[in-house]
Amino acid sequence: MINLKSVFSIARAETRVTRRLVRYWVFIGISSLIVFLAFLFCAGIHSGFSTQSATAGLLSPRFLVSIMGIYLSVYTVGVIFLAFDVRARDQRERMQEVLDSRPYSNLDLVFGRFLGTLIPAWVPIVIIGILLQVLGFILKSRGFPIGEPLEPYSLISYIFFMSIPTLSFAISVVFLVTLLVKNRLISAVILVLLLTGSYVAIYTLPIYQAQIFDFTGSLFINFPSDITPAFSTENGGFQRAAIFLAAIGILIISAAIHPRLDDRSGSGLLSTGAVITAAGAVIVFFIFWNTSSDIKMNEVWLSAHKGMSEAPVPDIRKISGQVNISPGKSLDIDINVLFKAPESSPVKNALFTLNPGQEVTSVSDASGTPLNFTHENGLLDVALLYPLAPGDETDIKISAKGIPDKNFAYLKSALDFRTAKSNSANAAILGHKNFVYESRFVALMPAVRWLPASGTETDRDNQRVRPVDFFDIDLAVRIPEGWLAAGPGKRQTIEESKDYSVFRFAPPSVVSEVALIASEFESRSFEAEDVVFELLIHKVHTRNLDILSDAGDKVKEYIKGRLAEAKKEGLAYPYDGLTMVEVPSTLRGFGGGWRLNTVQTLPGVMLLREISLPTARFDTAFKNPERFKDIDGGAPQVKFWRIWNIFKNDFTGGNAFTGASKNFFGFQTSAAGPDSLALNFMTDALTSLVISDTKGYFSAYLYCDQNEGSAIGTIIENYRQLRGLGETVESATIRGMTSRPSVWEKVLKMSLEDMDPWDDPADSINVLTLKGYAISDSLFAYLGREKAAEILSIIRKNHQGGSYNADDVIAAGNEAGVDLKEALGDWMGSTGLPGFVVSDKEGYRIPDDEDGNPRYQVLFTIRNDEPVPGLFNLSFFFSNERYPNRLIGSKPIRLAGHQAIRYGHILSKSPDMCFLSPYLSLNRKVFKIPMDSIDHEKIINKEPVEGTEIIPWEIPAVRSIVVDDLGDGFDVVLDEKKDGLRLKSQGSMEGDLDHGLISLPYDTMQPIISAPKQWARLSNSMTWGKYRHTTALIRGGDGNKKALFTAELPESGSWDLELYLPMKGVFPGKKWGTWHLKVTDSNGDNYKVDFDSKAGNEGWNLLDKLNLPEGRVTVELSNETDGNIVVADAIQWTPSAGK
Amino acid sequence: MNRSMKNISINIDGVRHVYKGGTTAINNVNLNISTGLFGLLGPNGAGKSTLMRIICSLLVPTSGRVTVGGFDVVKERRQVREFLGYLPQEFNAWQLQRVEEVLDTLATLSGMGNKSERKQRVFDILESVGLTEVAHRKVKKLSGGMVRRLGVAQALIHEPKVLVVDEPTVGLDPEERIHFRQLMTKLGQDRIIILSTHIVSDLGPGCHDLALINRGKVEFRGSPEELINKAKGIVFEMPGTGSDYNESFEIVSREDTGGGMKIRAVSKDGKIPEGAKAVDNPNLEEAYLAFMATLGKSIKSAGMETMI
Repeated sequence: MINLKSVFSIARAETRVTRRLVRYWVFIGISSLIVFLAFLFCAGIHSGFSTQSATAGLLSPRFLVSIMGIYLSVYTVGVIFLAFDVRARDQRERMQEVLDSRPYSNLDLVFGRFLGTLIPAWVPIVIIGILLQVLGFILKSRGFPIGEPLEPYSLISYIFFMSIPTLSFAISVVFLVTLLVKNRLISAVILVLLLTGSYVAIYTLPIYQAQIFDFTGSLFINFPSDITPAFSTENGGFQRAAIFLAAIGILIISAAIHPRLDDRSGSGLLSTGAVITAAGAVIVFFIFWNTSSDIKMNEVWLSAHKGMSEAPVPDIRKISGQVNISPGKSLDIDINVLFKAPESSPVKNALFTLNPGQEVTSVSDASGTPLNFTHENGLLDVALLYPLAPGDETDIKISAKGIPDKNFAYLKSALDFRTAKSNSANAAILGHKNFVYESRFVALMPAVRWLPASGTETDRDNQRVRPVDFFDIDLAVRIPEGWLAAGPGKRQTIEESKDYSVFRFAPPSVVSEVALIASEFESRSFEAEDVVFELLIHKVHTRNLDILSDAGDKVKEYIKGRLAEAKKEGLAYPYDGLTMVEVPSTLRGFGGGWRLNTVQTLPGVMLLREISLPTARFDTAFKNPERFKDIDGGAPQVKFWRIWNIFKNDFTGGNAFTGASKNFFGFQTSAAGPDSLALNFMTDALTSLVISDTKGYFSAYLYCDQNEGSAIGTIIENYRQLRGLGETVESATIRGMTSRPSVWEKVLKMSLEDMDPWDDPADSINVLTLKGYAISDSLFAYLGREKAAEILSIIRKNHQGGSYNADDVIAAGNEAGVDLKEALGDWMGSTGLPGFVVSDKEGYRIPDDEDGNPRYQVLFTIRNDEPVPGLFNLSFFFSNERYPNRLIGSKPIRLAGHQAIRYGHILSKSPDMCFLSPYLSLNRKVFKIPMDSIDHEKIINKEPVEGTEIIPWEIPAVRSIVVDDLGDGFDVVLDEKKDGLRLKSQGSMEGDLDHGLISLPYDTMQPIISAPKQWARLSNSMTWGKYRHTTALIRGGDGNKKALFTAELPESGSWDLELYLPMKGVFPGKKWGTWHLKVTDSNGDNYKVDFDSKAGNEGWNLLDKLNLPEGRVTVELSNETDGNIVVADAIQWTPSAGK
Repeated sequence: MNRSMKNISINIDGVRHVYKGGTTAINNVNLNISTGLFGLLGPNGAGKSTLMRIICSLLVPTSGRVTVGGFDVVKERRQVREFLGYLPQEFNAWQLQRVEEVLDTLATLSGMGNKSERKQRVFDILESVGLTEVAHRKVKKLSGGMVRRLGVAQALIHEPKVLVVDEPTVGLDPEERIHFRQLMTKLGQDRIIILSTHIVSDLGPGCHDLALINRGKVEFRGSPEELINKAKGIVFEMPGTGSDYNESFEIVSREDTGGGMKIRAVSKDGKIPEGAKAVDNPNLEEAYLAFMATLGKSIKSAGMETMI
């Protein structure tokens, strides 16, 4: 059929030609360079930060074979310009007839040419793969801080299963098109359009549809794992085979339509090619159909559950029994379920959710009498012999076998990897498998419902309509010999034989869900306060266990301390054990619903993704322990800090501090009712502050929409710039995610009680985080740890195993002697926020203290001009101090609605800057209080004032008229020449809008970055504002883009016009020049005013005195300047006589 | 198929080819060609290249049948191509490949599977066409003559039983032409060589059979001697003046005799002009022109203007 010698000979010739083309080396060079640079970048980031933040683990070069996908993306374009010339070249170089008269077939020719194009494209991939691998081995073995070998399965998979079908398909299509369209340039255009079309389809269609166009297989990439290595995803193997098959078919079709005369029947070849191509297409469509069926099945399940959602929900009290795990083969459960009928209705049929993949073999009552049951669509409906009266308990025995259906989990989820668009699929780096049941690893996640759960799946996560079901658990788990298991609480050994081990999990307190993780683990454990803490690391990742072993005592000491303190404060750890267990990266780390919350925190168990601590580069970080000898505690102390950081700075859902804290409260009781969303968030956050002094942030949406890179960049930049002011990575992250104008718009528009999180799930998290953290921070700071813990412990004590509501929280506060309602106001049901204004401020030196130390008095008058109470603190910045002593903050100060205080504070040093930091207010964020510098030499003999004094609230009457960039009188003209339109609510750039202008991220104010081309808004505490401090700004231009400040002058006369100039340090590297203003009065008369911003000072700058008539007056500030920035912050009109 | 078969022949039976535009390129051509150098003469556009491309299985005749070694050029192309070595009129080679690489590839594609045998053959053929020194040179760096020699080499690389060469000496210098004629004579001893040309001298002494084709039809088939005999009495010489144009004859050549000019010419109407003397021993070129003149062809249209 095919003469291989001819094929290889043609291939050799083609390879030679290809290799000698300049464009070939250009494409290879660009592709390879990008891959290497990307790897170096990731390796550098991973090496530098993986021991500081688990999030950096996402960039571990070991698991980032997908970076090599860049090569394919670039080179696929190259294929067009290499393969499109194959026939044309023969014609052009007049070889066509000589070749055509040779005794080989068109199949030989086409396949030869195909191989000749494929090989030069593919071999570099192999070389790059080998180079990276060798480089990784060398760098790692030599102890270099960066680089390590790629996970081999993923590399092999990429080299063979990803690359070959992709290149084959691309080349075959290029051949076909070039043969059909003889003009190679037209062919190239068509091919570029086809390629673009396929990428557009991939990026715009839901994944299950996009799969059809995904010849690159990018949607079938398995996140690499050392623990559960795999060459391909389940469908991936078929898809790659299908693409390759289609490529072969297209090549045969190309041979059939090749203009060279050949003996073989063209129609025969055409049919064969068409059949093979069709076979490939059929497989692709089968995968599509299969996925569509899964999606439909999901709908069927959802519908079935919704249909039964009104049925009485049994309250499970206890699940006990045996679980027999035969990894990858079978799962048998024999359990007793003790449940109670709801207080409101009897139960005739007990309804549970149980994974439909498991076959229920029998259900019987306590006496052993078989009960009728149905198990359809994941609903186990057990007909009881006798109706169970409201509040009565009974137990049934359920036996089931079989491996759970992998799709039966997170039935209602804002992110479904099948129906989401491919950019959202980036979240797959947080894992995509709902559970793992493989020969090497088992992770039975609660969401799969491998154990019966009460009622249907409908609204299970929505505590507004359905409370959490807490129950006791007592399970005997049988696993293969040599394996260890992690489950709720302490693992007790029941039996060990040469074939299997049986462990028991029977924690002394309730759980809301149960996870079982089992594999060949290495264990490290210790006991503190009667709680066993265990770290289970998979045997392939024990390196860091050894490296970190000398930090063990520090870890123990810390945990013991926290446990003892929690116990003392009435929040004792409720279980007998806490296991931190390593799981493969492929395991989905986030849940369903709108929240997509982390599922790495479970009762008594915490999941540790393999890309975090187990594979972090502690080896290089601690290669030279001598480095740390001068640090108090030496290397062990630094290691402890690093462990601390790695968990604290985990924004992939694995924050161990916030996670472990949930065991103390969130897994013991839960809010229910309309306020549950806000209450659960607030109590979880407060618990975390009480237990671990830590806040966390997790949003799976952060990893969607290709925001990951920019979001991480923003966080790093935010942290870098503000750490001197006490910013931590966690606060930088929370601030970065929640301070966007769009989030604030929602906060101000909708109360947490009324918020429907499904409207905008991603921002709902941020709204919740913004408000929830503000409240928990306020409480924690205002009440103090002990009081906050006391309130939590009261709620837990009163509602353990059940639920609570807002009134219960208020009641707990009252029991603890705190009026929470008065302290916080209606933060859940209202959108109102306080607004703080500093009206008077002064600072001066007072007589030294008794020891002769200088004393400086600062005095502020602070008003809350809104009717809602709120808290803030004041902080003082000392620029000549070293971090972290640069910032000293006051205790939280509470202001009731429409209240004013005079606050005095004595400092031993003169502060360089003073800031007001509101917890949650219309000011939105910290702002600078402008103060004149204190004269050190001048001592004023006044009595020291320390503390707060309530003074009458009164908004002072002012004669000045201020028009701020956020005010109603502010407007911009985007481009007079182009459209002459005044567009207040339209930005010309993509991005978050802040009052109609593009909101500038803080990091755009870098010296090397130019000011925006269009009017944009920057939020910065150094700018003018009543509550919010913002300014509009623009790059210098031709004068066609203008900012307009319009005011109504109440009377004719002489008016002073002033312009507010923010602190120039906010705009580093910018060139200040002359700005041009035009004043138009109500008569239409114009006055031109120039302002030399270079000579201008921070604050109000007098521009001119003008005699103006009463009525509307407009000040135009154009973008024309001999500098490179124009800032439109605020203008002020003041009657000249009033000065 | 037995590739060592010796008495291979080409049978062209009633072949006609009409191009898409309706131009009849060849019309009812019947030829039987056996071992030896076969000359295919004719003016440009006569249909020679079309006929050769049909023989080489590169073109399907509109009607008629062509067999090579008994194999049909339409139905059994692969077998036919195994016999064939083809040097098209416009030959070049992959510009980015080296000379030896081109030959090695084409040798493989012609069925030479044995690598060492192939290597030796490449070496031999390069030597025989005088390209040994540029074996490693890329084609794009070869001169026009070298490319032509490479064309000959590629056609011969697999020692084909049938060699089809179309205007092979275009671009060759005189020395190379001589060398080429010698090579063809030598090769023609045990294979069929079809040499299409409008330069009669290219046929050389090895050609014992030829056909004259004009407007797609075979106008003459026979040996060069027979063609020459036909020209006797039509080719003449006479003194010339430099402006000897006459509608009744075509001047073939002029010779400066020292004291004057002597012209050789062919008569268009079979009559020798007054004062002229019939040439007893016309050469093949003159015979070809004489024959073409009888068909109403001028020297120019017969493709022979360069001789003057």
